[in-house]
Amino acid sequence: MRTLGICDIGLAQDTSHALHSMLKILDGRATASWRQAPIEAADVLIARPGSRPDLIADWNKQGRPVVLLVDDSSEQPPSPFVLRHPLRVMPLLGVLDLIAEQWSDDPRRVQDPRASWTAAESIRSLTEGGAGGWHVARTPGSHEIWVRDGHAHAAASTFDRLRGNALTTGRFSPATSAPPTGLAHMSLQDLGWFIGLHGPAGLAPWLSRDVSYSLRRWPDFGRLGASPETIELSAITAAQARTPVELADLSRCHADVVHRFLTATSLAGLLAVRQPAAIPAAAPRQGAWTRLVGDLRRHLGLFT
Amino acid sequence: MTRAEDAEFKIVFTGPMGAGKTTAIAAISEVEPVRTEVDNSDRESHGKELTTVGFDFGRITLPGGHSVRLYGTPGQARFRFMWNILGRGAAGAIILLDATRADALEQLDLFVDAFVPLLPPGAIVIGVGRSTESGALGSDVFAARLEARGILAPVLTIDARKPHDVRMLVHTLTCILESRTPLGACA
Repeated sequence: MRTLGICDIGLAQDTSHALHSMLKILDGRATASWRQAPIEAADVLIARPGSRPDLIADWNKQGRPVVLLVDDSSEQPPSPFVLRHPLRVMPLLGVLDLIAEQWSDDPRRVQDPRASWTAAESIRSLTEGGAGGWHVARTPGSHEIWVRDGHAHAAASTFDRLRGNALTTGRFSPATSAPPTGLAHMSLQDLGWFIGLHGPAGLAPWLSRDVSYSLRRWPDFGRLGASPETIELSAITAAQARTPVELADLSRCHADVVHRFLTATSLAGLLAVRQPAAIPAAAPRQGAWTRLVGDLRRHLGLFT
Repeated sequence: MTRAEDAEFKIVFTGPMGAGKTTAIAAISEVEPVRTEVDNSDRESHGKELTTVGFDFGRITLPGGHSVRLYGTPGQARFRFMWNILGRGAAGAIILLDATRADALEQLDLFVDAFVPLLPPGAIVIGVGRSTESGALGSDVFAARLEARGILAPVLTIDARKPHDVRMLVHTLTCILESRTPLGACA
């Protein structure tokens, strides 16, 4: 097990003591072994926003992880790792495990979880493998998402943040306890949609640039929310299988948008890899007809 | 665009009685929709006071001067002859369904069977209302029904009273229309 050092700066004395006690509680329970360390030997910094901004900026610049302890989790400080004051054990465990998961080969750096596939990969594994028992992802900002039997459970506010692209999730791991009662729920496929749509920009590791993809079922945009791009991309891939490059060319969408769409539809179980028979095109139309359709869409102004 | 095409650019709103066709057209039409409603004599099928027996008509005028005609069909199968008249030459159709009805899937089949042969390939969008009410079928059930029949069409959860939701249905239909023309995808 990897041992990582954590240094706190700007914390009140009682908070610092609480951190020390919690690290002892987590010993043997966390993905890594965590020790308090002086700044020069630390791998991770935990700080209050505003304390030593020069040092925090320097660590951020180097890609070294900084955990910010905020008073109000609705704040969005410039760090993917956020905890809410007062410090509690389970949220701390979630963030430290997330950092340990993201720890790259470069021992001084971690990936930003927003650029990582761990959440998507674990959702895909749960969807395909149907692993039993509760799984949980604890996120920066003290949010938790629980998964079991094809459904995801979380506080309604957590799902709101997920839908609004204001939540970064880590890997879903087997849980040793059950979730609290009274949580909201959504299907695992819908959870996969949001994680894919708001995940990394590249093509997912399980997708290929050389393969043509088509929709096997449309997303329910009434339930999931719609953007002009996702509707357009759905229409194109419903008509005929396309490679990611063809899809970007046809839709004139940025490659990142196309990749996220493919990841989202894949995780939601809506994407087919096999080459389907192309649906016959409508009779050729004049350019004016196509302009009329575009004019109608702009006139309706769905997203303005 | 030829005069004939101009005259025929229409979108049809169809579906069973009480699914929200008249409401949906009113939500996006720029003119007060022309309605042909009479007292509902079929209270067994739906309890509403009035029902459409001819058709509803609305219109959207575009900046270039062209207009899009919105037609709402009567919902009762005994007026099926009107479905053929209104569906013929339509750019596409939006089928509205009530997810709480016990026969919602049969209604889906009925309207798909009636309109798909009249329309350009794929030019159909399904809007499912009241899906959050107790006992309602989820949109996935409707999608699976279509899938089992080899039909890939969008099934969207909507509230026909909300203009945003109706615009989303029409927007989706326009993207389908453009994706299946030789000129390619949506701009």
